[in-house]
Amino acid sequence: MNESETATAIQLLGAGGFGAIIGWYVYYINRYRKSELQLSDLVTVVGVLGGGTVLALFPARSDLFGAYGVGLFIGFFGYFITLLILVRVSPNFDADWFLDGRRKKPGPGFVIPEGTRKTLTPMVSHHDARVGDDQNALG
Amino acid sequence: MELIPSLGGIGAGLVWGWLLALFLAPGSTKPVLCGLALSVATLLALASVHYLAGGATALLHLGATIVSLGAHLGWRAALRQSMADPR
Repeated sequence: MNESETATAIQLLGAGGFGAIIGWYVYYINRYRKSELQLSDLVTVVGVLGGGTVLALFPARSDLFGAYGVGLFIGFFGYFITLLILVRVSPNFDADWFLDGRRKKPGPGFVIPEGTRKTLTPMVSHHDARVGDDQNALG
Repeated sequence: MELIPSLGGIGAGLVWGWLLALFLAPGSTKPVLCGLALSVATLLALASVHYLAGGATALLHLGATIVSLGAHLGWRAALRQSMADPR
């Protein structure tokens, strides 16, 4: 598609859907990041926003980049809103979980399997998140 | 300025601002280097949006980034406050 062409609805939906998947995945990847911010993390994220793949897929000044950006927003914040809803409806978590990962201890008959992946929190340092015990969830 | 590219620039800016806030979580052992890298990354993202959607959209992107960063930091501060003063 060249710059003068108007994108069709299906092209816009495709670009938006692609952006939504990438946005969802960006939140997921960052949430499970194992260490302090690395240069490679930044390269990946800048690549997602406007790197080689995006430049190759979407012509400059076209509606397709716009649809991709909207999809990125929907996917990324869709993940976050899903987290908010899950925390809201679960009796085992409250909003404090977003800060330091606190939650109710599992009752009788419930267990957190060994090897369950930790997630990052805004109030727990990344070093603590690597070596800590049950005080590190979310982001 | 066209609507869809502008919305896309704003959407990407909101995502980038929220990510910046997540990256700026406390506990960094190299805060200056981290801040510098994030600044350069922000400029690169801005340049990409400028190329892909034009100068006006790049400005919207920057504004959305700032709004989103502020929203996340405000939300985090509110959570901390509610944690300190449980009602």
